[in-house]
Amino acid sequence: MQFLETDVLVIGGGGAGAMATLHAHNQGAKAMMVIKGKFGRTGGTTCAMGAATAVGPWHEPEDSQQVHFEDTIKGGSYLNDQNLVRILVEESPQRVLELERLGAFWERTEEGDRYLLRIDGGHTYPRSVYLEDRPGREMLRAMGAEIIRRKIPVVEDTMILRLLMDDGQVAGAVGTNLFNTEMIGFRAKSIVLATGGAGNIYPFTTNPADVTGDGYVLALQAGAELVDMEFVQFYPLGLIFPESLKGMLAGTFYYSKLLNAKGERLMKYYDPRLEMSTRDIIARAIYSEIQKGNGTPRGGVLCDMTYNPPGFMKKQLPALYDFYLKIGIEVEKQMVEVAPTCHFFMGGIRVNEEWRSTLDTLFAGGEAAGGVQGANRLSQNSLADIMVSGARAGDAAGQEAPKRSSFRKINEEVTAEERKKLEALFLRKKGDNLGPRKIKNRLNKLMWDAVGLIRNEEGLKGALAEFRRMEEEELPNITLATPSRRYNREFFETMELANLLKVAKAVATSALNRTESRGAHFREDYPKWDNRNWLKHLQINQRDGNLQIREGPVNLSEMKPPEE
Amino acid sequence: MEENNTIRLTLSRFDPEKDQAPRRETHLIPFQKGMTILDTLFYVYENIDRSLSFSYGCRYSRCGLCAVNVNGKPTLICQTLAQKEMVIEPLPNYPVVRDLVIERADWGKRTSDYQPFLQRAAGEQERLQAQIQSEVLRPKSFEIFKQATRCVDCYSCNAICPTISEDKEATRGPNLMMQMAPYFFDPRDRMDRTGLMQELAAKCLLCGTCAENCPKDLAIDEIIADARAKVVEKKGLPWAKKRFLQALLWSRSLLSFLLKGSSLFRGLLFQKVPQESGLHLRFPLGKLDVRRILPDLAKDFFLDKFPGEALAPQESDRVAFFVGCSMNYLYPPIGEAAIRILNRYGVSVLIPDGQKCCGLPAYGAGDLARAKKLALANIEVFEKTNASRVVVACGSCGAHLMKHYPKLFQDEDPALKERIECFSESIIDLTAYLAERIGEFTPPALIGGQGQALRVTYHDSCHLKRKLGVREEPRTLLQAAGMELAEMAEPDRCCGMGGSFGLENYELSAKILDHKMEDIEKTGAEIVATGCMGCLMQLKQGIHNHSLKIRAKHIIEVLDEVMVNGLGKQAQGRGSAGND
Repeated sequence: MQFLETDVLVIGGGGAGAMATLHAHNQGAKAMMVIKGKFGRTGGTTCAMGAATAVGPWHEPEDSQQVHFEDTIKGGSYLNDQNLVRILVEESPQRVLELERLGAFWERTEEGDRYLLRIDGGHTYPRSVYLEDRPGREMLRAMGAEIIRRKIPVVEDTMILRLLMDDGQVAGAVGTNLFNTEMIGFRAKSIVLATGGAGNIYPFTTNPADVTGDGYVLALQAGAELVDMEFVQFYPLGLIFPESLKGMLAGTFYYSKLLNAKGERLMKYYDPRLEMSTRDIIARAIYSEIQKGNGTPRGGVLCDMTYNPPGFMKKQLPALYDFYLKIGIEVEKQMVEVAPTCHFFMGGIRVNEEWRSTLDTLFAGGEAAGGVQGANRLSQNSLADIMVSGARAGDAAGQEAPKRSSFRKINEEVTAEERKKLEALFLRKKGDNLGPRKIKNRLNKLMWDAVGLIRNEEGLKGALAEFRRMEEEELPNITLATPSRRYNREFFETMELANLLKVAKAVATSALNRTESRGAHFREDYPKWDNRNWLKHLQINQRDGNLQIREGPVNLSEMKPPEE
Repeated sequence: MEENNTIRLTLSRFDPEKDQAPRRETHLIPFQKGMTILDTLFYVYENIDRSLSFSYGCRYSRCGLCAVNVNGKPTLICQTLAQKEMVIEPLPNYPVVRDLVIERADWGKRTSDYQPFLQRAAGEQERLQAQIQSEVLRPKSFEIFKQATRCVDCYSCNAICPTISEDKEATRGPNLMMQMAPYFFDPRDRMDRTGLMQELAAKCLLCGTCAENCPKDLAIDEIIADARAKVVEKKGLPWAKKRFLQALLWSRSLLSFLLKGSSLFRGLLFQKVPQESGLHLRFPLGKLDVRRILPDLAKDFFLDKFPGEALAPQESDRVAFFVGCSMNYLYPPIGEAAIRILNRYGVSVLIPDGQKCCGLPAYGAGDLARAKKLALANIEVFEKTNASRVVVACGSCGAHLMKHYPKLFQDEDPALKERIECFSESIIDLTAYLAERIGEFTPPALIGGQGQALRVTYHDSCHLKRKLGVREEPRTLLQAAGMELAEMAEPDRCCGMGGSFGLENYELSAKILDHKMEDIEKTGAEIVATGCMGCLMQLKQGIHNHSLKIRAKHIIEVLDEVMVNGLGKQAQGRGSAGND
């Protein structure tokens, strides 16, 4: 097996990964990025259509980093680690300028001296920078250019299968090239995990296909800790048809009426504000209707924009209007079937102010890390998060390098084990001949029904039992339809499915243990917010293949929740 | 499954490790209204053949990974609706990994040579680092930058580019141009990229096929033209080209005098092609290849011969006529045919003196200053005619007059802009104009004489079809004229002329042309008609190169022959259009 050497290995090529790579390099360390897909194309950042919060010298007169801080804590239902949020609001504007210096262009006034700022739910003032509908891609373009300029190596098409540890510290990693199944090893003195979320555990997600929680699994296997895994954000309106576009953002609630299959305006049963309610209430309302059997045959509700005057939708939301037209839907004449779609993971790898995990030489940034966003994330805070956390993780990871003159020992048993697992998949002749996708579809359905927007103890326990069964009985029986090593879709979908199952277990386990409802986590058997008992984190470790939960304090250094 | 609810899906399957060549597999799959093309691949993968290799990613049409050829057209299949009959193949011009998956240049290979990063002025980074405010960047200076950064790098343009399809080494193609454009057009950039950009823009025909197929509707060909203009701004023009473009501004009488007077000189350089009516160089000169056949100069130039107006006996409409250089110097009979047809149908034609070259050669070379001078000269001359329409019979001229004139003056004062726009909006291709009046042409009137169905095929000139949107009209006219229209497999595939491109890159131009000639031959047509004189020149070259028994004619010549002389087996060889 070929081994590449570097000081800081960054796993993941989105905004956080790119930022971490550059900042590690700033520290004088050798950096290397390894991505499962292709830089700038794959992962969540490139899809990001909104804006990045950054209260800088350009802020609205009444706005301040303090207001941003408070909005974020309130939005997170006081579960955010406030020390991390303080860093977020302070450093985001610095990162915005940093990217501009690298060549990013943010929308601005005609005279060019002031940014144009966007606002969205939960923010008191407009405070976010953007470029047309592609702020994420613009970030990656600027950072990618700098990575090229500095000649930092980027290894694409490579999925990391396991981190290689030596006595609790990183020694490197081992992965496989998805285009030819060749195994490749890495030696590193520190590692940053920037692998994004895991939306694909659900049937509807805004995430691209390759976001499968790989980093969460790698961290657990390495002995690091996850936090807040029960908090998964659903955006209320996602497409459910066609299949290829399941989960795509379907629209906005202003200008829409939400109808169940009986044609009733479903929100009347849940909130007198109807469609002007908050996102989490709307999402749960829609989910409720579907689960009760009031949904359409495809399993959604109807988003009705037809009552608006002719020409209105085209004028107000031109991009959305055109998108629908492309796929054959005239929103002025037809209703759209929608369901809540998994959008973001608030939880992740537990980190401190350096975005260092519970293992000294393992760092995490972006959606892969947890604790910043609390129980629910505000719109536009993620693009800020990836910049800030990526930079911090990169700086700290880069500072690790000079502490050691040599690499730690590579565990050859582990590399051999990973190779054996991979080869076993190709060698297996007898199995159930179903392929990974059918299993993934069932996993998705189970997650939706039992670990979705409304949870209860029985459902969660049942789900965990089923996940165990799937992992022990079905996963090892997958056979590939072709032995070809060239871009074998079933091969990498199987690798990803293994990760999805593990993440599903982590989410369900946390959800089972949190017997209250807060933010994005809702238990119908414990529907209330309970600050007395539950203002704390649930943290997950893996021991001997089993998940163990323990509790940890929330950093409430600045703001205390209101008295109940 | 009912016929209506079925999709017939043919997929290209190929494993380079096992198969000699790609093979095709057809599947019938259930159709649901609203299905995307990607859905059909999912269906096959999940229900029919799990070994299928295909790629996708974001589903937002912004990662480019799902791009494949669907019925010959590069398509981002995640957001394109499925059709009932589809042939899906990997994007051409790239190595195939397996089935529908191509190799996309990996990080190191693609990026290391071209320096796609911002290089600021010395000391600027430090200065910016010290300040806490954002830079002052005027959005107006970032317009091309913004367009270019919308590119999702899907490779559709490279997959369909006629130059890349022929000679994958010759140019890195429109895709690379789009990747470099954000840096070339970034006002903050200080790196000298003119050498690279000149090279990237050099082998472009400006055919517009890339822009037509771009899933993001980016005007790639215009950005390439912008790049040429920026190169010229920095480096100036090559000596010979500069002299040539300067001459375009000279008066008609001076140019006529000089060209006529050069016949001896021409005789030294050129000789007649045997059995043809064209010339070729006696020996290689500059970039011009000896194999390139050029039409001889006409004995009498069109604008010298024609009075300012050709009135129709019973006038029902009046138009102005933009002649263009090819018609004027090389093919005056086409102009005469145009006048004849128009007059016959009651249209008076004003041919203002003082009209000059439309300016496309200058624009194409990046010489915007001269392009603008020529534009202003032409507009002034045509404004005086007071005609509400200006008819053009060359697709390239028409496209330039209609689309580029406004672009050239977009930063000018509003009054001038309005004049330009007024002029551009009055431009209409002759076939489009005639087709408007098709109701007036009753079959006997149009056929006039011994009309006998002749098989003709029509070549869509890039500019006429892509910029002017003229596609149906010529076909309507040919059919109304009693022709049997036999379509090529790819009637709109570029012929490879591209103006000066064909003159400076004979080898590549001829390779592109080979496809077109094979396509034409398969139709069994006796005549290939076209609406652009650059294409006409190239098609005649192709007929010579392939020794075909076909005639290439401008569509106006064909219509003229039908209307005035009757067209049939007896009429062959007769006819007003001279050069066959």
